[in-house]
Amino acid sequence: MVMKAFGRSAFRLFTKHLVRLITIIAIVTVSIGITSGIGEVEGRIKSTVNDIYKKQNVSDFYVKSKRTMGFTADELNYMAEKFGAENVMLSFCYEIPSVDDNGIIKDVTRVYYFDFDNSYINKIMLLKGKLPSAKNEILSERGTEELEGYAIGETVKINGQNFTVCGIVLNPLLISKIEEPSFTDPARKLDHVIYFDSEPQIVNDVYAVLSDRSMFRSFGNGYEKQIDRLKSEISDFMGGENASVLSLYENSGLYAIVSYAEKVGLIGIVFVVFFLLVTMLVVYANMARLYDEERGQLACLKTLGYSDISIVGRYTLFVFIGTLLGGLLALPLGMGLTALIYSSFNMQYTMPPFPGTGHMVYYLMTFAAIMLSTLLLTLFSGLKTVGNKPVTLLTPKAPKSGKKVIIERIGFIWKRLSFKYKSTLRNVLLFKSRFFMTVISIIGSTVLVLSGLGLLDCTLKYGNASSLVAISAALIVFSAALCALVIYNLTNINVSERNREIATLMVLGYHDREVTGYIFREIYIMCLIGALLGVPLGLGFLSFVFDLVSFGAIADINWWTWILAPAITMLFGFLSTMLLRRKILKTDMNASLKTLE
Amino acid sequence: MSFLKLENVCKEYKTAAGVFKALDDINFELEDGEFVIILGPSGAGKTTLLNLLGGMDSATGGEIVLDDKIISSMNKKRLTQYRREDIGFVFQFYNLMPNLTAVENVELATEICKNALVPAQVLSDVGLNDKLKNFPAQLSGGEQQRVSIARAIAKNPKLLLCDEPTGALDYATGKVILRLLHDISKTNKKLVIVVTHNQALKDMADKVICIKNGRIENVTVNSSPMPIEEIEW
Repeated sequence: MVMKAFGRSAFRLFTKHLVRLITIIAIVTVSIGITSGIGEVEGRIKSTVNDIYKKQNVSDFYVKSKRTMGFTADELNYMAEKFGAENVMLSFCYEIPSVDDNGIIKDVTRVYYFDFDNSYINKIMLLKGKLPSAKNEILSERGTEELEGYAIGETVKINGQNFTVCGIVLNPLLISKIEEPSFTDPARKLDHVIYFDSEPQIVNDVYAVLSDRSMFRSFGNGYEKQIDRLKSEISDFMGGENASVLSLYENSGLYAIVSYAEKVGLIGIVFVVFFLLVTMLVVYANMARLYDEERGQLACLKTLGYSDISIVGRYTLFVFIGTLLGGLLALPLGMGLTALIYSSFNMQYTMPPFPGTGHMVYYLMTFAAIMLSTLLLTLFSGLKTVGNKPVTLLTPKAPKSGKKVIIERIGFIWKRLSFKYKSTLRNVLLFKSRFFMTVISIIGSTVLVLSGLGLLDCTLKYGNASSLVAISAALIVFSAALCALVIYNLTNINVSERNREIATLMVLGYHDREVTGYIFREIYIMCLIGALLGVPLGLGFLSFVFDLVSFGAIADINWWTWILAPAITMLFGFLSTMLLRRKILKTDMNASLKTLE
Repeated sequence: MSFLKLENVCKEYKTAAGVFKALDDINFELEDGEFVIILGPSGAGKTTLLNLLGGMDSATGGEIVLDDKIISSMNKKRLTQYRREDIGFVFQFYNLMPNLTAVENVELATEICKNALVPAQVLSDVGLNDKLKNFPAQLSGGEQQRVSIARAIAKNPKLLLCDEPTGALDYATGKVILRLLHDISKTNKKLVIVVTHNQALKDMADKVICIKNGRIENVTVNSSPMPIEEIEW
């Protein structure tokens, strides 16, 4: 019977403290959502690159002859022996400059000769149309901002002969949208790439693949060593004056994608640390307050003979359910963010569609880390409270006694402050964990808002990259939400803890604005500190991000963005305190008369 | 015209069970410099009456006039102004701000009103001249109550309201605090109203108002009040 009542009281914990439960769910959702959303990107990109590598059988080496007549039989034999005859593909490739009436080069077209029936290395992907079936049909590489593509059915004149484009393709070695230099004149960019379905007459290109395709692992360490060794061997045999040996590391596509993904992964780690910290602080502050509020009940259960661990167990269950729900809600949120960042890679690279499912290692790891840390915090802070004797628990917790703060030693400043600010400063410095929690959250929010606005500035200035607008918007919304959440939560705890002080001020005849100011002033000071520190940190973070995505520059950011970002954070801080204005003013003045609870 | 006058004052609460009269037809008149005790068992309506006198709540009927100001018709904003300027309040549990020193706790009240006294001087008057910079946690219960009294009188209010001021104090300290409140009413010529359920205190008051079930049972005028030192309980 007793256990039944105990269970019922555990259930009541959820209904009675619904707002707290929602707070925990919200902070966990935002934290896991953002960290896993950013963190999963590296894994997805790498597996995508690995897929391209395997499906298109991307060549590990691209050896280009510098002789007009192409490779010698000796050289071709060497490659066939080195890699195995079936792992080598021969091709012919040249570039045609088209000249205007004054003899000035208008544009450059690169022509590849592939035998499509027997093309098994660097398989080109047919995006539209069909493969050539007649002698006069050709394929065109897809167009980008730098590379002009032909449309299907368009006629192209090569060496006086007319050809018709029958299909649009993507060459896995030309996945990058950045301009591709012409190899006849590296100062010029390539304008067109077309493919003939024909056996090469002269062989001046050799593509070679490693027979062990599993070694690649998206440019893993073992792969790099193997490639370095093979590259120096091939170069030694062929001689630098006769041929250039290029590995996938020199390709501006796949390797760059992977190295960007790795940088995003690094940012992900920074985010994990930041959000883990904020989540722990928020959950801790909430649960510590809850234990204080329920001291009487804790004492009651204790005198009834319940063990400490079973009493704390219900609170741990409370946090477990909150974290679990938050974690589950974070799954779609994180996936959406990952898809968004993945699609931003499309700005510079032609990416395959987002692979919806994956192993979600990062999500599970952050989920586990946050779950573990919140549960341990709840357990230990609970055991510390419940560990007290019932008598101690039945008397109210003594308020943290006032203390002189460091600024008071600087007499000439302290004397000039009105007592309102004295009290505010003492409180700010007295509750250190709360101070750090707020300031860290505000710094984080300001950095994120600044990054979002900075990206937006550059995106609008360059007039491209609409997917970055989405990322900017997501950054601004999430960080503002985080900021509002933390401040609302903290102020809410603050208000209920200081209920008696508020009632006393009202009895003393303080007007509404003076009462709310007494509580809000310290929040605003922390907001200001966080927002101001966030600007230089945001500057550093943004230059890192710009460098990372090779897009944007600090100089392209509007000057007012540096003011707007901290202002937005402070505005959100202000708005969330305004939501609590009513709660403060509804305080019953009789709370000042009642016995200490 | 008396300094404080209550006429047909009522306070009703609407509950699910019907109208509940917390105060019913309260009438009395008090003068400047009087030391008055409001006596009654718990639930009698003492706190409700204190709330009305202190401008923390509004009456539902009748009239309260303090020094020619009609309190009972004031709106929320004017009531706040009234509490700010005219009322000094001494709480049972002192209600000091834990993060302000003794003198700053007094400044909390003096900063917002016009005719305030000098905080350090008032603290010195209540015998705390060597504890000005102590935080509440560094003061005994009696000392904290003195700070609370200093905070109430430093406003230079017209009316000093005390809610069970000795309720949280030991016997000896309680007597000292009552002596202090009594002295204030006589030397500063203030109307001091003390709410208590301690029957023994009625002998020290100039007037005793007994309340029961929301009604005034009787108002006794004490022509020769006893000094607090001679009262035992």
